[in-house]
Amino acid sequence: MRRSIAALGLGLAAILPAADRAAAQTVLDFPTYQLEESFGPWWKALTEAYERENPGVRIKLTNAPSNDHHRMLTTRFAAGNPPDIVHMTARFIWGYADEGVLEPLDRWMDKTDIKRSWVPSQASLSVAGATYGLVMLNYGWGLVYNEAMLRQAGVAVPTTEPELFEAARKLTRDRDGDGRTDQFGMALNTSSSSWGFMTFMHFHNGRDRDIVQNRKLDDVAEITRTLARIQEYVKAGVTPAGLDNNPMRQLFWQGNAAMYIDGSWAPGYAERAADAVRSGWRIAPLPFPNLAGGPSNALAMPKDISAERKELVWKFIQMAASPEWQKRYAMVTGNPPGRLGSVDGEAREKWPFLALFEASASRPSRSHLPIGFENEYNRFSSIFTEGMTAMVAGRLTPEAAARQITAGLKREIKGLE
Amino acid sequence: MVTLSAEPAAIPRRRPRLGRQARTRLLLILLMLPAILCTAVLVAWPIGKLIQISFYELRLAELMRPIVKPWTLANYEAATGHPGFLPSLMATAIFVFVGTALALVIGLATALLLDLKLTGSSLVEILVVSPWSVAPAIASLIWMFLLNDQFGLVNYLLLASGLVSSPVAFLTSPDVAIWAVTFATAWKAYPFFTIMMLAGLQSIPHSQYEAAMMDGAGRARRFLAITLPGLRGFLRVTVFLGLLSAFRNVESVLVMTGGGPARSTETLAVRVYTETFQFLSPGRGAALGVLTLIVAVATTLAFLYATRKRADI
Repeated sequence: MRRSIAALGLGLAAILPAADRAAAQTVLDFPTYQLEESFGPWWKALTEAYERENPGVRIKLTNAPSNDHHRMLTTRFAAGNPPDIVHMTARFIWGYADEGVLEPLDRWMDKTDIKRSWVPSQASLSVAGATYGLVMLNYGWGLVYNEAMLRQAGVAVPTTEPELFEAARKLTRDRDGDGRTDQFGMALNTSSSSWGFMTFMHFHNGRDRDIVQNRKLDDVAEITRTLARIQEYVKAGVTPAGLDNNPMRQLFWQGNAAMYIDGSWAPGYAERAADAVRSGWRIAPLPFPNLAGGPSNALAMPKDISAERKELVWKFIQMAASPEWQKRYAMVTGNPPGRLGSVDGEAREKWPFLALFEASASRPSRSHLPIGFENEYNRFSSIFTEGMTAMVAGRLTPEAAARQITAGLKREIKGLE
Repeated sequence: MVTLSAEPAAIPRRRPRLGRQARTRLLLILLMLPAILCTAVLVAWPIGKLIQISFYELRLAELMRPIVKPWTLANYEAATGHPGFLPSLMATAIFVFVGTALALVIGLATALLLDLKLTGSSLVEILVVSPWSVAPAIASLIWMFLLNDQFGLVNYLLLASGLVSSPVAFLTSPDVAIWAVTFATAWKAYPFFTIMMLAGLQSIPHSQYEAAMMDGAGRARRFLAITLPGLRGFLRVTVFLGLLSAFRNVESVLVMTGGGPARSTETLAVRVYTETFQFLSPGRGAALGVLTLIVAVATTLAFLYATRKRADI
């Protein structure tokens, strides 16, 4: 009996200091939707390095699928129980800032070089003069194409939008002669998801037009023109109608589409591509004179956490923004980081198309966002895709769709002229 | 000398003892108390909060704080005045009623098949109920791929058999999408109906069928005169639960179509989700939630009332 008690005592003595240490640790909650993507290794390495530099702090890094992640964030903000480190798709940031759940970062950020050294879209993450996030990735776009298909059809890589349309027409084929198209020239997202809206913005920004300027929605005639152009692609049968992102990528990477538009993460899909595509895909600059720009995702800080936690979260954000970790971002993920000039020769060698995306990301001439109404981005996207999907399905003409979109936006969004 | 008081000494009054019935009732209440408290916390409070939020224009950060703003009907006006409201009601009606009816028909048919106890029926039973074991989001993903107009197996089979000459845009045509989503949801729901109906079928005494057969009743007559009346109670409960489940189903639509194309599959439940989580308008989302709740409760009560009246007859 005495032996048992002594053993128990020894056991407790061994365990208690560890328990003490655990109790003394501060745990920062950090859910992200990028853990299972090509960005995952970078986030893991960053959190491990942070923990090494801050021995009393542990980061609870968890993965959540993108849609669930933002639903979870909204619920946690509403319940007053937000995660400590907030990572989100940038299109939600203005809405959350508007809802009063994010902390302005300027008092920390102003003491650093971030505002001077970052991609131009960093400036857009502000509401009423306060900055609410750090851009982790700026949208950089490219035209992903199947070189063998282009060569076989004798088509040059398009450098203008009319050339893109012509190339798409020539590349659309019935390969097995059964009367049905089985090779699409261009896979375009015309679905009701937010990426459908992005397709509209590629063509609209590409025509050197913003959707909102000085709180005024672009003319019905201009919206009609862009919609009509998208409709021409659908009517010509160069793209399946109503295509969403996953089927769009699947079409290309399985060798059933010759071209599609994607972001700097596109090379990540090559691993799962059909053998014939894996060795023959290339990326070219988008054949538009102007590009859709803007932030893709960002790090932010919740308002409802203690001052001590805010300091720790800022340390994490600052570490992510450091030149060293920004360089590693390019190297590990193959995407152009927010800090300009972070892509070195080694990264360019490892990722052959990184320079192209870097150039695209650092010089957006137009924004895919409704400037001045960024907090209404999701409503914009929803109303636009409602009209666009109705047009693609043949229910509305481009002009009727443009009128419906314009009326819907003006009805739903206060202050939009 | 002993003085006798006029009145007898006061006997301490005993508290009247509870009767057996009252004690039983008290015990029942005590036993039910945990369930009542759980229901109050997990059901009544959230519904109460939802109703409260629906009458205020609140920011996300204000939802759980004491409300100091004046109440308003603006959320209800915005929700019902939206041009998408009536189409949403229509989509909800198709999704809920057609989906439940379809699940009931398939469920009843498979239950009748399983009740025949043919060779290998245990294996068939497992196959029949297998959709139930699939998570709703996964089931929707499976159907999304099956119905895809470019790679989908359904279109491949339709084209191969010559039934159609070009792929059917199951999920990208506004005229077809709501039916496709409804069918996929019914597929996920029918095993529940099968299990309930099978339990109902097995509760009908076999002697009734034997007597009917001796009287010369055919299969159809036996089904109408014995099986259906015997299943009435089961049908009532199953359809009631099926309707409620369909009203609150949001993941099937979100995964398969996201409410599109052209809002053709945007049910009321999806609009609640969109307003709350996409547009960050909790007040408007709550107002739509209350309206959905009213429609769901009214529909199910009407169903229960209609079927009870019939049972009384």
